[in-house]
Amino acid sequence: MDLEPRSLMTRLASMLPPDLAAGAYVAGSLAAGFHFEGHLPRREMRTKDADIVVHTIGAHDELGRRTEELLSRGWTWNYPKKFSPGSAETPVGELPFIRLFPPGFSDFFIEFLGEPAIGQQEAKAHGRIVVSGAHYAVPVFRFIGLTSWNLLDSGLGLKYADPAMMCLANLLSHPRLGTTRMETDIGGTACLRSAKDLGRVLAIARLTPRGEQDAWAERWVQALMKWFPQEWRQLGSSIASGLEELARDPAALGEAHHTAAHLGLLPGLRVSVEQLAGVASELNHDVLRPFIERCTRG
Amino acid sequence: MGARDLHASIVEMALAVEENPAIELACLVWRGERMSWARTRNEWGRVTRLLPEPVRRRLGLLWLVKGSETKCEPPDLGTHPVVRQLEKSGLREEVGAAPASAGLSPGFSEVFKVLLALWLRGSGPITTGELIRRCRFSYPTIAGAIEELVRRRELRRLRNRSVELVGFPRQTWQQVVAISDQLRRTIRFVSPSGRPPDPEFLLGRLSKTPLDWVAVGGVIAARRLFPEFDLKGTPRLDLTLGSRGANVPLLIGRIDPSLESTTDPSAEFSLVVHRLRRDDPLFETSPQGGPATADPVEVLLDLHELRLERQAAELVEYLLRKRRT
Repeated sequence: MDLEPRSLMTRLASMLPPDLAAGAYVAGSLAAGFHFEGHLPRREMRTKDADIVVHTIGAHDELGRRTEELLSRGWTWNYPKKFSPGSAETPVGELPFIRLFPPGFSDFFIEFLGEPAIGQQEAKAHGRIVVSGAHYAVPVFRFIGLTSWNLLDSGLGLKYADPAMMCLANLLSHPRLGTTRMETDIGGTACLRSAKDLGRVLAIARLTPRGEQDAWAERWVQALMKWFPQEWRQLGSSIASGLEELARDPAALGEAHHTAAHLGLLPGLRVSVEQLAGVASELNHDVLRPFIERCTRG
Repeated sequence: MGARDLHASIVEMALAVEENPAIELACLVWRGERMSWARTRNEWGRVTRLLPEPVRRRLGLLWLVKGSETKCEPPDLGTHPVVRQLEKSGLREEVGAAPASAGLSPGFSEVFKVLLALWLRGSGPITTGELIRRCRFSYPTIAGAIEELVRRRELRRLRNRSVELVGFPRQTWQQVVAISDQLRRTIRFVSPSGRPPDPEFLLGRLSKTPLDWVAVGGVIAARRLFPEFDLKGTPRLDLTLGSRGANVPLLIGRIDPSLESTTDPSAEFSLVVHRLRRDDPLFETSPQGGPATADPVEVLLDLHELRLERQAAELVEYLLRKRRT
């Protein structure tokens, strides 16, 4: 559904307990839409959820209590179809994630994401959370921590991820296009997960003035060194591979365009699929090459 | 059009072929009234044998004279579909008709532009030797241009073999403006992402690592020359390249390797590069630092190409007032 990012951010900020809001930030499509709201047609975007990254995921009990508090304030569960709350015996990979409808919403929910440990190796780990005696999970993506670098202030009581850092996390998450497809159709298409995420990277790059992108590489290096002190050079040097594969694959590029356009980040700009490939070329020359050079030099 | 012009045209075509792998065949159509086929073929061979094989085999020469058989080099070029299409296109009739621009060869126009640029800057008379040094053209080319401008009563001969423009040479200027697209060696670039042109961004990149054979032209240079220049915004970045050391791929690599060259006249150009033929580019150092400024004549031609006729006329009037004071 089409929603105004500013309105959503305002309502979320007012509905989340202040100390929870202070220890969390918004990432994903809502963060991108809020940052670029001036470019959205009618200042609206198409989204169904907000990713809330919680800094204190290490304190699982704390997040459990916070969730109970939200439920007592009128928030309601949004269970994925094939999952139900588990017990201490349920493997963590089979537990449902914490997805909650805010009071008054039935088609927009928040999902808690955890912040990883420094140098996490698994692409997706899980944190076990107990809420009112039932067991749930919080996904902890390997590169999500990078989005906590240089958090931006919405001015509404919630911080949100810098779009440049979301680009870094998405690029590192997809060194190859792979074959994993989205579980939910986007505009009638079951798109490649990588095409969706890399399409968002290109949309953000297209919406950011190129003069501003010149500063991305150094910020990326600093964040990568913090979160991956042992392997930042190796990770950084292969950052362009997924995007290069996307640019060479007309079908995947079409899906990237489809998802970025469907989300609402591109329609106002009338960007064609060919022009999206041009954005990839610009991003490669402006940011990725200087970044790789910085990562590989002695 | 003499041997030097032929050499320059071959080298220019070779550069275009070398820079653009998509070009399968580049064919130089040479009007042969002033040069026999034997001489033309000889000069062609002198230059092309210096070129690397992958470039040379993609070049062809078509020699046309009204009433004569078309000559080709290599000889089998005439069977190439592109050449046959050229033959059918009415090109021969155009050659026979000798267009009004025939008197304004690239050599003539370059000499004229040097004379005008120096005059607008308030320089005094210039000797033939000085013109030869600045243009690096042969004496016959320089002398022919002077003779033609004197005949048009736009140039006067002074003592010591020096010459000076009588005033602003409006007749020849209008002719040069009218055919400047054909006379100037221009390459146009567009952004592959469809972003609107961002000339200040590209200029910022160039300013980080200035190249001494590149000068800023167009609207940005007009503002440097004429602080009251009346135009909001900057539609594109115009750059003028001197002939010594100029390297278009190097330039594009420095400022934006993602730019794509285009021949589509309706495209929204981000960058337009004009390559000079003469030896002295007449660049002016920028007092603010950064890239130099192209000479006022190139800047005026850029404005005309942008269809900024009123602004070009105002710049001329300003330069004339400044010259008088």
